[in-house]
Amino acid sequence: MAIDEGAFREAFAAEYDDLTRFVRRRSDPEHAEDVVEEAFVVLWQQRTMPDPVRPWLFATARNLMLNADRGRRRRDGLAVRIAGHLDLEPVDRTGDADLRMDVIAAWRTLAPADQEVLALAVWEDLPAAEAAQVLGCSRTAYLMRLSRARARLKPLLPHPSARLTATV
Amino acid sequence: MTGTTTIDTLRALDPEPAAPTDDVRRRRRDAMIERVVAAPQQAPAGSPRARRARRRAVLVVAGVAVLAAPAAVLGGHAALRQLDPTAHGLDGADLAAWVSTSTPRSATQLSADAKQWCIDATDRQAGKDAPVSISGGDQRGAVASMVIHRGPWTDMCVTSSTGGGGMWELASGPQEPIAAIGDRAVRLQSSGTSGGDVRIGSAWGQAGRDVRSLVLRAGSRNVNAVVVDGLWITWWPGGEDSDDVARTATVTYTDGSTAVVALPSA
Repeated sequence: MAIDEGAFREAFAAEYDDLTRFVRRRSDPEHAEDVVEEAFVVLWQQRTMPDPVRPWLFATARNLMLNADRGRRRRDGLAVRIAGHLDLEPVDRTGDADLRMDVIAAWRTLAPADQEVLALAVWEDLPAAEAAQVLGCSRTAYLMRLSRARARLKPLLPHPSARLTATV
Repeated sequence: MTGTTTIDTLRALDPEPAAPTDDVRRRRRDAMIERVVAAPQQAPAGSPRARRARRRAVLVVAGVAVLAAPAAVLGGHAALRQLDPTAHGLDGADLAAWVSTSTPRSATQLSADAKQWCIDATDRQAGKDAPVSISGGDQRGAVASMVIHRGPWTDMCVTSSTGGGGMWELASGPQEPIAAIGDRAVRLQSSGTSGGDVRIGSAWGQAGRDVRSLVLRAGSRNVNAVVVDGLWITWWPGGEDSDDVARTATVTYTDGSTAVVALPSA
């Protein structure tokens, strides 16, 4: 018994872009294509199509990336990149620019595990159950980790306009 | 004061925002899927028992599990193993028989089925003809753990005594050396949880030549680990956050003394 090729092609077409973006956020862009391809090979070799397939693919790709660097990253999670730079002169800053730079600076001090849960919620926009599947934990544990990550991000933001009022 | 929230700002700082697919990306995508579907879908081989074992062989990595199906090579990539984030190969009966303190077992004391399962599971393409030896391990309820040497590779393996399923992980090899540690030191190499409805936590690491066994704190449990050839592996029925392994462990040395020592991660 094996996955039907038509169903596989459908899943590939539906998930390729988002899986690529998921991997590129967490890895050297030069190697992202390799990780994506390996994850799809693993899916191709499954006996049945996972349902839902997206968190399964994300979890598999995450595992491949973690396995590429044994040791500390395995315990602490994958660091996640953030866009933007900290090189604006103060005179050029608007309120929003200040907040943006505060968030960038704070993000870079967060532990990889905190970056991961926040990224799954904000950038991957996964439902809690699927995000939990990606991290290999229960939904309750994921929500707890998300809450803790938000709590740890908040005091890192010195700018008075920095608020954590949105729901993630 | 701005009306933009931190989460709004964070959302705008996505390093990989959605973008239209250009021709270059489309060609890469199209080429990739053709390479993937050209790869063989794993064909079962051997006896029914061997088929089941191969499908269920898993490598626990950071909370998910890697099926140890025969390696595949694709497009110049390194050898691949099947990955299954939901599997660890042990069943509810194995977990029900779990005990916190395992019993050391020599190679001859380990069950033949368990040894055969681990030998099959770690039968990597590049080293399948290398001589195999098992150094011993321990028995925890219905589950056996052992250290397997195959040529230049050393694997940790955990399986039910009947050889019905289990998990394994490469401890060291030509491309994966591990640094030596002090005679009285211990080190955690990895820990994680795996499985779907039946979850387990597991950890393995190194120990110095003077270390006989250790007890570590994993989640809310104390669990021992027997040292074989400078390596140890242990597992426990796991729930959420059960892979939180404490950074200290109680070590028993070969001279019978004990001490609480740091358990740094590699």
